[in-house]
Amino acid sequence: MSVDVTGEQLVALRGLTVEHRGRRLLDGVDLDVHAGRVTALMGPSGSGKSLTARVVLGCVDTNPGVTGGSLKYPALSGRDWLDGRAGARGARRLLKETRALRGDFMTYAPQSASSALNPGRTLGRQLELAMVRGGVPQEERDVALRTLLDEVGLPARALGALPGELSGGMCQRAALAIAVAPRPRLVIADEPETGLDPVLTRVVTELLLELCLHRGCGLLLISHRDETVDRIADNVVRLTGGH
Amino acid sequence: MGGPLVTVRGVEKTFQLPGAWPWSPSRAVPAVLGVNLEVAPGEIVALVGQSGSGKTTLARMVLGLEEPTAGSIALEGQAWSGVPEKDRQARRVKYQYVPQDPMSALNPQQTPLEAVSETLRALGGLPAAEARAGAREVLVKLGLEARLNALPRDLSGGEQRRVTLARVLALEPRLIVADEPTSGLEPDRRQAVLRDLFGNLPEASGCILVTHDMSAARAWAHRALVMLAGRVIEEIDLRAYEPVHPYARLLFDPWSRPAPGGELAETGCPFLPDCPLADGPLAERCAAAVPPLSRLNDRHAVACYGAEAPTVRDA
Amino acid sequence: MTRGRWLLALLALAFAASWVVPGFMAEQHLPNPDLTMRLAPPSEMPPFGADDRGRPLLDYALQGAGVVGIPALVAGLLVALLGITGGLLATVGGGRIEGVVAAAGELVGALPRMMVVLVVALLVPRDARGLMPIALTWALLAAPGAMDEAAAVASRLGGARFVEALRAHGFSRSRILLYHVVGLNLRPVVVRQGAETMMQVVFLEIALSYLAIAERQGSFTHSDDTHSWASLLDLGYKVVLDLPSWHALGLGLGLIALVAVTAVTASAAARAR
Repeated sequence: MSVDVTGEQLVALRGLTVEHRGRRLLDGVDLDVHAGRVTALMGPSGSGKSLTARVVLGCVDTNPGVTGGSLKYPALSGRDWLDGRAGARGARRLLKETRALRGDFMTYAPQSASSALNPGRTLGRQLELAMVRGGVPQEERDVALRTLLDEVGLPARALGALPGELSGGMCQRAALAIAVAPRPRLVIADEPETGLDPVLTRVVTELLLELCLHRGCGLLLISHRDETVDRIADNVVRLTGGH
Repeated sequence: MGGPLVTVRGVEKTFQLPGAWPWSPSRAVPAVLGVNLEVAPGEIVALVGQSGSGKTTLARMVLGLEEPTAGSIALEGQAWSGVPEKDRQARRVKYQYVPQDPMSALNPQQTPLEAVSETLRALGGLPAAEARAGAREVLVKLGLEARLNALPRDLSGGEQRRVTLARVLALEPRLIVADEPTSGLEPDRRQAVLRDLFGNLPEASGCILVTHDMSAARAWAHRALVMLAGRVIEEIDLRAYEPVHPYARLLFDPWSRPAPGGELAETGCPFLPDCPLADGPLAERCAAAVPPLSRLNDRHAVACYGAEAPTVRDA
Repeated sequence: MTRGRWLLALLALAFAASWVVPGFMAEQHLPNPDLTMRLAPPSEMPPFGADDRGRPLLDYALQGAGVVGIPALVAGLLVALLGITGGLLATVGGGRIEGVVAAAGELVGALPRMMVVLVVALLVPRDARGLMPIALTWALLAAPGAMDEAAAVASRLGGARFVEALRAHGFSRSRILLYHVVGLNLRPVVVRQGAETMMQVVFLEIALSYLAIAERQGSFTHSDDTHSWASLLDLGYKVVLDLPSWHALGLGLGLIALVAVTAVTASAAARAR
């Protein structure tokens, strides 16, 4: 796989303002993510980190929602996706329009691995579906699957296992694998270190970094650990109660 | 009472996991191997380690939620392990448990006031009116004044935690075992939870804190027991000393060395595959036998053949 | 709690009717036809009006209550008890048990209930006719669904972890299961299901008896010399077609009003915790 770290801009978020029932949750947030680079999103609890990430994914779930700002994916087009998408109706339209991007252009690794894995499907099947979603050609899938397993450190037998049969650490790795299997340009990782002990946190963080950079993805990492962010982030966006 | 609150001697726990098929032999999975522990009145001991290290299993055995397969546990000098449950039940009131997931311990149909009142009535033996007043007092002390009559589903995660804490503190227990109370919380919230717990601990009560949050262990515990693969590999007063065991050092500063592979050895010292100290003749010694926990001084013990002399922390 | 008290009152009424009413059960105990009271509207006497031969409708109502009273009560209790059992099994047994109960519920739910009920009704010997076998059948058909719902509620509590956390706290196992699981969580669910089953048995009885009246056959559910509430329907139907009269309407509207007021009061009381 050719690694083309061009530093191409994947996400350009400017002046994002989100309101919910009269309260301003986000007030003028700017965010950039570039291919092959890590942008960290930090802030105390309740400052709107996950909310910002969800807006980047095209999911606005507050009411009235976005009241200002622009969201562009420069690698795709110059279009401002938030233009005219205020309010509940606009949010629904945005969700629909960005559906094609989710799972293909950008993927999301949620906070707990268990949220990322379907308990009723084997891991192998889930990875396969992720690759289908991402448009990985049929003939490349087998090799891609094995390479991926190797990179995340899962044994081959994990393919036939249900998530319930895998240990917690393996589930974490599996969740990361699913996030990068569709060959996205952008990976959004929501506090992957939550609930993990310090050593595993480091292992998971490094794994994430390696997976993304190796593939030339951009990584938007939501975290609250300074020591992690200091070490791996190229630029940091700090939210303080909405800003 | 001068004696120790908790006395754990040579405790081991091996789980028998059933095989894949009804006729397959069951697998023996060792969880805790040969642990000794004492908690004195007024002492806070942290059990630190990664998931699978045995810290949770050990804590559960202290509470009597699991029975050790070997060794003995005594609470306040009286035998605890191996005693039939009906004899233990009355004593449980004094040895309380703060679970990791508050929602799984709260009845979704009980408001905080009802829950803590029930505890005081049924377990504390108070008449209804006094139980209610006592419950109110504890809940207010934990900052839940505005949420006395809310149902658990309407409470935030932090508030739910405080309700389980209130229920436990209301009984003024002699021992509290807190199972990863800060798990999944952001740094600013962690301090609040630990302040709620330790700030309201009755005098002369002991506490066992199960955690992998190193800074919490350092800030609040008198002693920390670092566990790996079911054994205690270091017992240390974190306020006075720096960890010496290579694994403990990694746990406290994960970025200090290249990331470990994570594989543990089945025989000999479990950390051998990732240990930076083991090479040459030392490595052979480490592979041959599990290093015993040896005392460096009265506040520091370590299980490592290659450990250097302890370094005293700068104040 | 208000819901529970209402239910208790209804149950007491049904029970009382079966005990008080036996005196009214046989037709010969109805007052002699009084043609001067023919189709009289509700007034001081008779309170619910009279039928086309001047007999008070209240007597019909009481007889009907006697027919449905105990069978409906038994059916409701059976469903509630089985529901509690399902919930407790799920708490103690875990996911596998819940799966089995859910599967049984689906299987039983797929059965055509009316067919099964009619088969049972036909199998009961003629002289042992009564509502009870039918009510019990209905309850057994409804039970797996109730058990499944209760199991779902119980498993949401957290199953073994919930029980363990409370045991570690110091509560006895029986307190946990009886008060915490059943008393606080399962009670609303099984009470509702029991009440629903009672209502269904009542409607079932009315439907079967009405069918019998229309076909001029002996009823499955009661002996020939007893009237059930289906007779009231039958009377009302005829009268409504013949003349505009307030009898049937009065009784019907009264019942609707009573049910509506009960429902509103109960839900208001439940919300105002």
